[in-house]
Amino acid sequence: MLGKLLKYDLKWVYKIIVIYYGLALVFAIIGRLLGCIDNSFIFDVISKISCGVSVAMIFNILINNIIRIWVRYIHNVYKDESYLTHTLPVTKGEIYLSKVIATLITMFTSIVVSLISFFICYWNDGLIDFIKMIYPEISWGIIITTGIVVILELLFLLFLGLLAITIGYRSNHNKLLKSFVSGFVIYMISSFVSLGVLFIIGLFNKDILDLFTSMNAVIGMDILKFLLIVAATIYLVYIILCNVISNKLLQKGVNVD
Amino acid sequence: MELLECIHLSKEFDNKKILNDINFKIPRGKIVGLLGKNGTGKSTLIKLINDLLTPTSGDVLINGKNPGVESKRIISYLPERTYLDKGMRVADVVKFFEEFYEDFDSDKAYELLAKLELDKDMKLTKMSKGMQEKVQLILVMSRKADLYILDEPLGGVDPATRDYILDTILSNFNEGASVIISTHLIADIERILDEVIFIDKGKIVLTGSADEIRKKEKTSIDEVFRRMFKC
Repeated sequence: MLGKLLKYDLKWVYKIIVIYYGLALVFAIIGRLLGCIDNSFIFDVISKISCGVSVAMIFNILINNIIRIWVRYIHNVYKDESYLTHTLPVTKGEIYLSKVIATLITMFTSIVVSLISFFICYWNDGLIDFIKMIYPEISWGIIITTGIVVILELLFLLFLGLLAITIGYRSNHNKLLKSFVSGFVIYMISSFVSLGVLFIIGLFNKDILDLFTSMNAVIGMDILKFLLIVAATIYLVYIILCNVISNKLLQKGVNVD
Repeated sequence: MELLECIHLSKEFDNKKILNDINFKIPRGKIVGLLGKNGTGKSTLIKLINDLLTPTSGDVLINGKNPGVESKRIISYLPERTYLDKGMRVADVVKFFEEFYEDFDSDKAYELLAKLELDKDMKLTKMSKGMQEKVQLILVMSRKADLYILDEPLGGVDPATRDYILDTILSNFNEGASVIISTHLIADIERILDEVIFIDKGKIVLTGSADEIRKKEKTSIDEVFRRMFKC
């Protein structure tokens, strides 16, 4: 049954996003091809506009992906469609797990399409030289770890949204408002906890403590690597916590409108 | 074992009791009218049976078990609102039901759709609310369920269609199954009821066999209802 639920969740999310995938890739390819034509001011302008549109589509894809997952969750689990969802012969755990897997799959494809579009538009030796000029010590390891942290942060935001909705929709009134408030409060608490964890680590590591106590702290590559690994670990723990709590709350039952 | 049993069932919203100590049993093979004015707790009771609300206290037992996957396999529920994904075509929702409910008969669904001249390739967004409700009724009645729960199935339809809907219910529900019909339009459904449950202000005020009540009160169920709930 999980597979069937997942199929319909994926269909719903992809229905619109696939159009943006296509647009991002098409504009990226147009931008790249026209950029290859030398000595033409017009083609150069069109190329830059196309790449600009492609980047706008990338933002659109990521924002739309997050919003559609949240909207799907509200409609499917708490609004009119919930009358069907909760009367299907499936467990609440399966309903939630389907949303989690749909989130991971759609975010994965959205990020892949975004990266491909971005690299089609902007990837060249000049870009690498530019990055190396700003960060001479940068390595592929750092770039990839930074990417992983950004992806984990996006996933944390997404699952935080699902948790906030689950909390907000447990009440009888102002459900959406309470979801927003819950989300904001949990985000603030998680930020303070992250800072607290970093400070505790700082008690054993002078370079990290300097970030709290000095205005002139220098972040070396080793410290940056360490910070990225800490951030990735913290986000991973938050993601797991958000999902465990949301699932537990959903298991307790729903009160649909 | 009773098909459905509610034991001391209560539901509160913001400390206000919507249902208060509801107790009743529904055996197999009966058509039961859940009757009451608007806002008396009929839909809340139905939502509790269907696991759409969590009880404040008490129990709902279906075949002796609390609502869950097993109960959802044997209950076919028609809510008072349209619950289908509006972006789907009729054929898509038929396929959806076929995939999730083992007891769903898609041939019967297509037959009923054809009788009502509903286009299977039409998107639900293009349909009127009345047409969507008919599609939902067809989906619900195309299951070979043990218990059909129909919440206000006659709510927004004209009298001619009401007769058609009642005939559809009567001629399509699974033999040996029970049907609960929640409504305030009693005159329309009186002829098909075996038992009635009158509900008012969250409490059961009268329950029993429709024939016995008619005999005892020497009038129709509709008249009993009018007298009981006179404003």
